[in-house]
Amino acid sequence: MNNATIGIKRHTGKRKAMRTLFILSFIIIPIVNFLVFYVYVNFSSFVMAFQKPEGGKLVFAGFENFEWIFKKIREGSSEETDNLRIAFVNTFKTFGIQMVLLPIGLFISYFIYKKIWGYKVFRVLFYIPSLVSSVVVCFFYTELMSSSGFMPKLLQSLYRLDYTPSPLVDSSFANKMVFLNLIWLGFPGNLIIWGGTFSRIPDSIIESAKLDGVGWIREMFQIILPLVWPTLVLVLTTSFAGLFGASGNVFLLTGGGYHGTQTVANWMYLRVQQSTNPERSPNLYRVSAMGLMLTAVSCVIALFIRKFLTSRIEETQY
Amino acid sequence: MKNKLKIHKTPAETVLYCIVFAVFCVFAFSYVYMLFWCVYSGMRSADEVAANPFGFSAIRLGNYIDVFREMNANGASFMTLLGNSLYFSLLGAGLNILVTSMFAYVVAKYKFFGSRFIYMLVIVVITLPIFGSGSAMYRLLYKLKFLNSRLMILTSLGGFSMNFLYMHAFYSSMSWSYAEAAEIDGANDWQIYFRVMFPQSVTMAGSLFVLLWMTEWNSYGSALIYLPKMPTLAVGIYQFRTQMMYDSKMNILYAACAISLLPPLILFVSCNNALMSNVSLGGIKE
Amino acid sequence: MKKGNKIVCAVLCSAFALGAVGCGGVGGNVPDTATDVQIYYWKAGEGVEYMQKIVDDYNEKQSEYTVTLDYDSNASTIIKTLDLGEDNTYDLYFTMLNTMQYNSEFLKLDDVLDSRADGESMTIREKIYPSLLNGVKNSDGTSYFLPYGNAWCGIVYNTDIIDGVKYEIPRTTDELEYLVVDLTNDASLSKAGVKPWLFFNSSGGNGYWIYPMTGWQVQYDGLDYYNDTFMQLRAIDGSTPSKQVISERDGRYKALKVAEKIVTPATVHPECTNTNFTKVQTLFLQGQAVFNVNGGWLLNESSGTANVAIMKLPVISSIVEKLENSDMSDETLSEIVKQVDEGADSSLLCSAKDFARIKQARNVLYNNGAEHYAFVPAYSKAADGAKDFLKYYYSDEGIVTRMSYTQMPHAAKLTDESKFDKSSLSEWNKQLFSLTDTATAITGLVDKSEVFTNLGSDGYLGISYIMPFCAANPKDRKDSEKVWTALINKINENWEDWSK
Repeated sequence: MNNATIGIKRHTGKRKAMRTLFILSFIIIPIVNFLVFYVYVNFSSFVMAFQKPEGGKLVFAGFENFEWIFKKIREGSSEETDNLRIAFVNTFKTFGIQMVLLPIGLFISYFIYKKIWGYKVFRVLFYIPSLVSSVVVCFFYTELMSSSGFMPKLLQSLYRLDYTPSPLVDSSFANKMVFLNLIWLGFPGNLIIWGGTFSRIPDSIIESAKLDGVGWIREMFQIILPLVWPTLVLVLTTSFAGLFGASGNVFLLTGGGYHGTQTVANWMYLRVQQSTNPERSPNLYRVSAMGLMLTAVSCVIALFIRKFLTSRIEETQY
Repeated sequence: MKNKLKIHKTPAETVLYCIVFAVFCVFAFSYVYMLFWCVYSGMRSADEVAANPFGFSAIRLGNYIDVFREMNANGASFMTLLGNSLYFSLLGAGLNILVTSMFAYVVAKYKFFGSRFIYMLVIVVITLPIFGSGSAMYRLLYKLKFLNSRLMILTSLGGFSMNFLYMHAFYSSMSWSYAEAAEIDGANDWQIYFRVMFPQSVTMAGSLFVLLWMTEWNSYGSALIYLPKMPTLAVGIYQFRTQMMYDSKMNILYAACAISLLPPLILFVSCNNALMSNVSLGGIKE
Repeated sequence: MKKGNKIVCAVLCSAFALGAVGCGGVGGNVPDTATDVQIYYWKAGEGVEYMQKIVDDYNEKQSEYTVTLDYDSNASTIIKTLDLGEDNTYDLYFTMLNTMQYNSEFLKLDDVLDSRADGESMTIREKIYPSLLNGVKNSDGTSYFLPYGNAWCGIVYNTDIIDGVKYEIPRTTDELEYLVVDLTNDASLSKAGVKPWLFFNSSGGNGYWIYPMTGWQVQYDGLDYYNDTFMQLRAIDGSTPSKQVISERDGRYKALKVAEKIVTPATVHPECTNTNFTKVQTLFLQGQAVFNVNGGWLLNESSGTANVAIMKLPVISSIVEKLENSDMSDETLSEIVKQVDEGADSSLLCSAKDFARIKQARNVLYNNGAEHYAFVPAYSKAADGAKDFLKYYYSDEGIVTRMSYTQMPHAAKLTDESKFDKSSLSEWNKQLFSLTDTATAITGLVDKSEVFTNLGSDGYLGISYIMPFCAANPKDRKDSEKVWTALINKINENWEDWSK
């Protein structure tokens, strides 16, 4: 690790002052921004987790908000969108799908890196899902699911149904369709991260392996994978920490958690979106409580994973 | 070299490549079709789009001109939307990348009290999803008079992001010897950064800028709440969609979407090569 | 070097700017004074042009106040400003609220209601249609809200199919039920892909079904019970909120019984599952279905090839259970309804009391005018100006401006009907004006009990019923009993919370 510390000792007092001023000038803006828009905002939010509105005023609520959440997890809810049990199950399922998509994305970038036929075209086309706004994507997808699209008939013949389903409002299919949307859009993976990582693999390594007669599988797993491992570890860590944020386009596709499609992230979004008056909407405070809990759990998960993979992370100097 | 790799393919590899190629084609086609559908629906009449969204009908290129006339989000014309979009996405992304790169540079290259802590803090902030702060944010922005104001751009001056890690990785692996040479020539720290170090990171910063710009261009969620009277194109499209209740012109909506797609698409097509190779997260062990 | 320094300077300057801004001093286009009235208006189906014209006219007419108009097509954006409390600079709102959770922060507007516009003989209270005004009144009779719209909502039908020759407009819900069966079995309609119903799915909600459903509920329970007991959840002993009232198998249950018969997988268009109601509306106006649930703004939003009209709400057939003659046949009921429509004051077929009951039922129709209301935040600095503007809004001049721009009725009537010429209106708009003269508006969402208020819901408490009635998948289908059970379960689960 090369660093600027070399030579600092030689500096005179004036230079030192200048350097401090320099450092300060470079960090002051992001730090102020962080304190105002992150620390302050999240602190207010933290306080909210222990508050509740009562008679138009905010009062200390102790752990009431947390109790409410646990109750909805334990017992579910007669209100479809408040059924946190389903929400958690779906969140884990979504996360599972994302974990499966992750190596797929890695492979896709690998094949592009290996210059599969038309790789230049694929590289552009596979970025389309990231370029198009999700509103438009979901308009298109919803039309595919409507009676004019192909999906209802396909599902009918596939499942041998005696009726034509409306996939997005049919409890047997709605969730599957949300997942399908996720897979469809997530298939290419993070082309930027993997593309960048692969492009840094020195050609000499691959070439010499080729000359040694190393096959495709060995090349992938014994040469490439170890080379990209540090990046993979980082991506995995951030993914696991973001576990509870896992959600497909539930809001745009099923209008927010109906027909058994609710996720935790969507529940929070919906409840904030639908709350109006902070002095009267208990849901705002429940969302804060939920956020606080999830943050704590994610924190533990992230720490655990980091610890688990520490040695490798230290090597990566990212 | 390209040929070398191809020549050595075994039959098993060729089969594998064929399968992968086929799968790639299916997905690529579906994405292209979606784009085509959006552009083409924007050329049809509203009634026909509703009656048969996947059908074919007479092309009315005039829709794409009507967008400029009819698209109106809370009184803002299409050109105003475009202007707001450019302001917030270009300037916002530019400032953000500049601030982030300066921040990452100092943290990577200078050891000072708290530098290690800042680095860890950034990782914590990135990895921890914090939810439910929307209401608190709204109140704060109101008190700062940022709502519906060009000052909103100041919120993008943050450095606690994934881009910090990219930048940090980049500067960490950068040799200090140039800087040393400049230092011997009498350059101060600012000069070293802006004349020696930053120019070397321009391709990297440029790539991150383009990526950030493309995200900002399409994002509407927070702008919808904080800038309802200074709508960007993405907000305009969203609002036009909510206004749809009152005049059913799906075709105009699709045409507007197609137009808004153009800038990121063109930019990506023209510089995807640079984007892919300039952004790297983990160092490669050699 | 120079360039580098410039950039640093620029960035530092912005940092200082950030600090300076933090102290306040930037932003805000209109001064927040006692003479600057800032309006925030929800741009909905009627557009914003009429309101701009009224504002311009008002500013020209007087010099004491300056009114500025802001508008948004997204009501949530408008409501969000109320979160700011005293920091909020808007003085007058024309919008809907998702929930009525801000009541205590608004000014009572009874002084506006009791005033007269210059040179007019009637007070504004007398000019506003009583059923609309009652819809937004507080339970103690005072008013925070003034209705500013007037849009009749209910069942819209295709007049090319229900032409009065082959098919007749149903007068009772039993007739509606038979009609739906006949239409479903009509070979020529099936061949053309025309289904009885086409409405949009509002994701777990019930779309516009609240309009006819509330109508049937009121028909069965009677208007007084609906307004004084149900909406306020007031028990006989006066206590409120009453769990017994909210759990009662009342008109809501009877309305479910009607809906489950007319809305089935066989009677709905496949696009009824679509949440994009622009598309649904367009398809309906292209003649792909016979019935749609919608409101007076339908033709402002879109146009099509089919001719459509809004029907008076068929009288719920189970109303006979509430009549003195509870054995009355549906044919007799239908005959009496016909006499009501012809303007009769009594009938030989039933007692005077029963006739009054049926007449009342026949003439109720949902109006969402009461969901568009004007109100003034209590902390407004220009409250007097806001009230003065409201007086102008309800003056004949303001009313005529709105009517000419929107072609739709106003929440208030003119002191002199001749000031607005209705002869050039389309059939659809003429019908809306004639309903205004004959129908009694019922309103649903502006509730007088905190239970509904805090939930922001209608009498069905957010329980989904229409999609379960017509779900293609048998697993998702529910009958009215199951829907009712879900409703009761929800009450039992949450009552403790709600009644706090």
